[in-house]
Amino acid sequence: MQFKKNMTKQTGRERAYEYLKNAILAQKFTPGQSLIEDSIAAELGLSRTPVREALRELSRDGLVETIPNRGAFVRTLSLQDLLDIFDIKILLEGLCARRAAVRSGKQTAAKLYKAIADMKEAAANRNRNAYLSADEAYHSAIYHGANSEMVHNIIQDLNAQWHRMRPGMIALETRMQTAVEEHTRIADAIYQENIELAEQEMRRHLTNLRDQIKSLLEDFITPMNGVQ
Amino acid sequence: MLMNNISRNLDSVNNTSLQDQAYQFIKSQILQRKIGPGKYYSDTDFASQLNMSRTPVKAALNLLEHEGLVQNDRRKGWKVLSITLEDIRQIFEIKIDIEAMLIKKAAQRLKHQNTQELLDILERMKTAAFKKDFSAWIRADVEFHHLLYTLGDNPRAYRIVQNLNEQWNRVWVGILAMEGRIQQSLLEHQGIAEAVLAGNGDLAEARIRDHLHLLQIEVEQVLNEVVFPVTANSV
Repeated sequence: MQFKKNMTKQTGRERAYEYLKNAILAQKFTPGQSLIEDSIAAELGLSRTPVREALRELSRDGLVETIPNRGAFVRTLSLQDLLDIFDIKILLEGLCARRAAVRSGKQTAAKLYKAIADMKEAAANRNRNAYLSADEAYHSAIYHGANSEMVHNIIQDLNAQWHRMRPGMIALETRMQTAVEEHTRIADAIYQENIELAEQEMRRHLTNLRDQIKSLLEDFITPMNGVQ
Repeated sequence: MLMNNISRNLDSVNNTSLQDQAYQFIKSQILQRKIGPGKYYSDTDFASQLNMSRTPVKAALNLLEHEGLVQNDRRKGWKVLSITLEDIRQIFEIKIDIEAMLIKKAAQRLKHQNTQELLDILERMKTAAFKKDFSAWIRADVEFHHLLYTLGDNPRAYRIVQNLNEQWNRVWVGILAMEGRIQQSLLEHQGIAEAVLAGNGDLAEARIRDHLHLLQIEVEQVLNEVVFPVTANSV
C-alpha cells in the first residue's frame, strides 16, 4: 500500500509493484494464478531482484501469497481479509462523513441527493451498472467533501481489494433498496451538519454491507481460502 | 600483503569516519534549523564547509535521504524534506482512529506469554528515557507498538499506520517533537501498557487517543514555532 505523494524517480521495484498491482486489481491476473518471477522480469525488462521485492511487498498488502518451494500466487481473499478490510473502512469512511459534514455539509449533500435519485431509478429498473456508478458518485462526493487526500487514497486502496470479489458485487446488488434508505440517512445528517450522526450512519451502512457479504460468503461459497 | 590490508582497512575506517562526520554535521544543521526546506544545497557546499571531498558527503546525504530527512533532485541538488500542518492533521486523524481500534483488540487478545515481553520493552523504554538515548528510545517505542499492533490482528491496519508514520516521524519536525517529550511519553506508554495488561480495552483505547493527541499537539507546535531564515526569501 503505497500512498506517497511525490514519486520523483521510479525504481525497478516500484515499476514492478505498480504493474503487478494494477494487473491483479484489474483481474488480468486472477486469484490462484501463479506469478512467475522470470516471465514478469522479462516482460518488464527488469532483473529478478526488483520483481521479487515487489512480490514481497504485494504479499504484505495481502494481494499475493507466497508458498515455499512453489512460488507466488495471486491471493484469494479470505473471510478474515474481508472483515479486516471492512473494520478499517468503517472507521475511515466514518471519518470522511464527519469531515464532510463539518467542512461542506450543504454543498456535499446536494451532490448526495442527486446520486440518491439516480440510485433509486437504477434500483427500480434493477439496472446494476447504473446503480454501481451512482453508488460510486455518492461515495466520491463524500471523499471530495472530506477533502483529505490521504484518507481517500487509503480507502481506494482497500476498495480495490474487495471489489474484485464477486460476492461483494452480489451483496451490493441485493441491498439496492435498503442501501437507498441508508444513503439518505447519511445525506440528511451531512446536510444538517450533524457530525456525530453522519459518522454513526456511515458506520452503520458499512457494517450492514459487511454483514451481508459475510453471510453470502458463509452460505454459498465454500472454498474461499488458499490457492485454487 | 599484510601492510596492504592494514592500510586498506585504515582507509575504509577513515572514509567511514569522514562520512559519519558529514552525516552528523548535516543532520545537526537540519535539527538545529540552520538549514531547512525551501532551498537547494549542493554536496560541494557541504564538502567545502567540512573541508573534505565530495565522496563521503554524498554517502552521508544518501544515508539521510534513506532516512527521509533530505531528498535529491538530480538537477537542482539536495533539499530538506518537510511536511505541512495540513498533512500532520490528516495523518493523525487517521492514525488515532486506527491505532485506537488496534490497541483495543490487543487488550482483549493479550496472552500470558506477551506480558513479560511487554514489561521488558517498557523497561528498555525507561532506561532509554533515563539516559536520554533517543535512538534506543525510538527502537523500544517501535517494538512497543509492534507487539501491540500485531496482537491487534489486522495486518492491513498496522501497515497503514506504518506508512503514515514513515511520512512524518523521520522528517525533522517529527524527530524534534519526539525527542522533546520522551519523559512524558514514557508515562503515557506505561499508562497504555497498564490498561492492556488489565485487559481493559476501552481504557487502553482512551489512553492511546490521549497519547497520540498530545503528540500531535507537540508536532504542530514544533512546526509552528519554526521560521526558517531560508524560507522567507526562497519560497
